[in-house]
Amino acid sequence: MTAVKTSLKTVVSDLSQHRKLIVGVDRQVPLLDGSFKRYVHLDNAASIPSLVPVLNKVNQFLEWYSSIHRGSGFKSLLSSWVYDFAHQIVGEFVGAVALV
Amino acid sequence: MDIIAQQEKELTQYAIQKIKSIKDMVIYGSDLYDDNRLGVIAFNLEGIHHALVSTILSYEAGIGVRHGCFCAHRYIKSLLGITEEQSKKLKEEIRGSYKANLPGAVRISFGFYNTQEDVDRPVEALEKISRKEFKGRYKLDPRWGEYIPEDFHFNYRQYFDF
Repeated sequence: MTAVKTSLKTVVSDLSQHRKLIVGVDRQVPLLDGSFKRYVHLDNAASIPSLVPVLNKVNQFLEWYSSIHRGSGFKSLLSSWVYDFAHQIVGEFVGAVALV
Repeated sequence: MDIIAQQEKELTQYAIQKIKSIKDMVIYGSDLYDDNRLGVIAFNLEGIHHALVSTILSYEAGIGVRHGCFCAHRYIKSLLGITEEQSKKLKEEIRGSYKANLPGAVRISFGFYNTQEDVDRPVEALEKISRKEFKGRYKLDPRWGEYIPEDFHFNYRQYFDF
């Protein structure tokens, strides 16, 4: 629990290090003339690249992954808890107010 | 969160100042110093189709942006002054899978990891495009309303395969 929170806090309190946390941030992409350039992603309002700690956490979780808020097996129960808890963490981070 | 918000404000103001100095540039929304402006900037280069601008940014500068109506069709319609009559005609065209005349704009939007260099890159490219200095020859694919190079395509398998 606290481990997840701490790593999120570390991510944002040190913005000088933040580029390192973006998956594929320095990816070179091909151009029409055959040369390559570092990709500049400026469509973040639509889709933002993943953070390395998120990638690692998702990979770690996939062994437990099962249906959310449906199945009654342990993996489903755990997955539902993880899903809700993740929403709670993000909500607290952005200062969301719970409606229910 | 406050640190991220502050950085977004600074980058947005830096970008607005740079972008508004480009020839034939029209920025939608405020282009003045505005503390509440979000890190989302929509614009057009007068006389050049928004789809062509974004294609050139990708194929000649390695920059990913979006163009079109951004899921805000009504707002774009009012921003661009599209009349009801034009709108009706466009709807007919879209029903017939003809999207060559779709109105829209180009949009850049920031993430918390973007830098000033990430603003300088499109500004430099847009300056060139505004002077019609681009290398490729592009054609409009009316089915999608997208420009593509006339005699070139990327080999995606080289970068990712199953």
